[in-house]
Amino acid sequence: MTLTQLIRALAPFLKEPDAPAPSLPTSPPPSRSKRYEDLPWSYGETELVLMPVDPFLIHAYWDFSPEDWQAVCARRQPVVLRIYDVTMIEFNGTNAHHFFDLPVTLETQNWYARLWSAEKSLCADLGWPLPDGSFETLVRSNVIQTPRAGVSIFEEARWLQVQPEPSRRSARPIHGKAALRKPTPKYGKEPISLRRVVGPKDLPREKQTAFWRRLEHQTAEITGDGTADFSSARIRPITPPKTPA
Amino acid sequence: MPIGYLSLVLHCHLPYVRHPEHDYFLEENWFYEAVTDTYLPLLEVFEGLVRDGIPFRLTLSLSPTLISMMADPLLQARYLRHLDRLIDLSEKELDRTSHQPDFYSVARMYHDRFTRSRNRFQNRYASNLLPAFRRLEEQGVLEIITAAATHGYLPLLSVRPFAVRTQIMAAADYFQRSMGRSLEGLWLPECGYYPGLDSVLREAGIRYFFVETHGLAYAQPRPRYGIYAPVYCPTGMAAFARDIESSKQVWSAEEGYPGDYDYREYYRDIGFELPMDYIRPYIHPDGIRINTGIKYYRITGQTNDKQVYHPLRAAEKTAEHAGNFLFNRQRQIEHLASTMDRPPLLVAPYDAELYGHWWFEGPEWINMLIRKLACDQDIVELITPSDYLEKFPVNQEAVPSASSWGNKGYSDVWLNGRNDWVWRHLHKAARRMEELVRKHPNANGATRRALNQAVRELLLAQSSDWPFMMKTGQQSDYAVKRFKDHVLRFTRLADEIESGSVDEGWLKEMEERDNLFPDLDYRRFR
Repeated sequence: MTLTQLIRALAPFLKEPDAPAPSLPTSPPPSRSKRYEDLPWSYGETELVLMPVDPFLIHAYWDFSPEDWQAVCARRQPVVLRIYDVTMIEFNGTNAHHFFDLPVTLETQNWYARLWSAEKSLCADLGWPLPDGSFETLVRSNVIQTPRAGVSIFEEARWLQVQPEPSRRSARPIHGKAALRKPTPKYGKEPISLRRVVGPKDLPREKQTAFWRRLEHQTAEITGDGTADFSSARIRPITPPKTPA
Repeated sequence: MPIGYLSLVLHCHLPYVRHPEHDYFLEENWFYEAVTDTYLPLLEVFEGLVRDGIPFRLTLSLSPTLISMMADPLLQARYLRHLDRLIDLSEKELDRTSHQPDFYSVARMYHDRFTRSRNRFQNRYASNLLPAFRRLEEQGVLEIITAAATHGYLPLLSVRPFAVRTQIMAAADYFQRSMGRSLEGLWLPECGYYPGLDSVLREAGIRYFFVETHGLAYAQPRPRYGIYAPVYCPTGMAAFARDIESSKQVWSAEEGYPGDYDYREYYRDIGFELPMDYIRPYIHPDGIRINTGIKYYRITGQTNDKQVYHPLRAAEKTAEHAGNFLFNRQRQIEHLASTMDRPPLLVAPYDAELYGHWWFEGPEWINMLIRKLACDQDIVELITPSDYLEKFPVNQEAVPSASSWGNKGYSDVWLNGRNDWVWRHLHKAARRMEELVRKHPNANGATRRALNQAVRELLLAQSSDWPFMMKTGQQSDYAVKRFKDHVLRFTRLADEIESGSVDEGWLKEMEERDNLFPDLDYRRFR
């Protein structure tokens, strides 16, 4: 391989910091009637939104105001998505447990990020890492919580007694025609009363262990790569769950 | 005193599909098919059990969109038209199969079924099924609950808490109006839960909801009874979890009962099999072949050479499978009872449309199961969530884990490369609606109507059905169109409200087209 061929082969991986900036939509805003023909590519407001997909995958989408688009283009430096672990902290921009950067393609307006641990509070910035190690933030996201991916290690049991408020109790059980005519309580009123109570004694350890071993195994079938794929048998909306034999 | 409890929950839902702008609309058939195949047969089973004095308790979730469709005069009239066509076709089938006794007896079954459906729908239920379900609740056998307003997937809508609140409040209000009582339990669409959702439910006066197995198995702290008793969220809302063992026996494509070789084969419909000249009046007016509902074969096996369906043999199988299901629950409960200090509770929720539509014999299986539960044993007793909470008001406090019943248990089905684009529009629209509500605390006249309609369009855009269909690829063009239509209608309404120039002619058209929740009042969402 000649040097020229090598450079050409590696070109996609050797993007210069001043690589061509993302192209801007140059057409004027759509006229009023066109506005109701298709969904807009941009709403013209700068924002970054995170959503958890599962314990180990998150999704980010973003949008920019025309001014911010201009700024991004003028900058001619690739924007990165910096994801912060802010579990149990009040995030001030610099105190995250740790972070990692993902180069993103701005025009796609969204990105997925794989994670290596579950049950985290995460937040993200779009912006530019600076030579002095700091980070210039263009926009900051909402904070999300990724789900737990296993049985909780906390076992301390607290017990509640919950009773419907008397007005609700009188409306139940809902047997007999009279129930329909009864005045029902208004919403916004507390439907229940809560009281902390002493619960039953703990079960013997060996019983608990066997119980949880079985349940964990079953649950892993749903969340892991188990065989139970209930979604393939779904009915709604009424469409075939499998292809004909 | 039984050793344990079984809580059967049937969740009935269809997206709001109603197209007055067309004389015939393919997707409306979902509703007609579900009425013939599932809702009418279930009603018949429940009414038969009451008539025979069989005690039972069952939880039925009717989604607000489905209740709206049941109550809609246009869809009611069109359903009768649909049935008339089917009756006409089944009469022709009697003629066509008159020299083939095996086929003829199946044709007779369909003919009887359709004429009976028509008679019951029009005469017994006066074209609206909701009062019939309500009557069963009054008789003490059903506990009726509902789902979020248009079945919005709440964990992903929660980026804008306003969207979640609107889904819940609109559902609770509509339930109150249609049922005449307040809502006790909520079916979280797709069992989608995230910590914190319970505080919105509490605000709406709700007492309990359901989560997928790991919603409780992974709760914090670890629940003493696993998934075999509910927990209380810190807000006092009770969370019940699905029992995977009972689900699997019915749902699983490989192990489930519906795949039995004696049961009816769904995929051999005469709409696809008979000559075009013959079947043309009963399929899509453009000549597109569709399912008619008449299917002559049984599953037979992994073969294309299918055998004729034998209704009697299939009925015997439902009894056998009901017995098997009960036997397994008894053993499961006996085993669990030895490790618990209170009677274990098995919660078995299913999409109702599985019964009857896919699994033709499903309603009869439920019938046999309930009869066996009542007459043949005393180990397992049917119970509803509110009955359980009345019996066991003390439960452990825990925060359920974020979860859903979609594939892999989280949000993957509603957030992936095929449908992720919908969320930015939904979040943006929810924020805009929230601002409109704040800016117009007490609008009147056309502005108020436009604000109410904007909420309806926003809710319709939020249905979890659209991203689900985009993901599966089935009817995904329709899903994309519906999603865009509602967001664009919302946008136009919002623009007009903001500019103070509501086009009343167009508004009226939208009110007539997307006419669900007629009493909805946007001021509820302030």
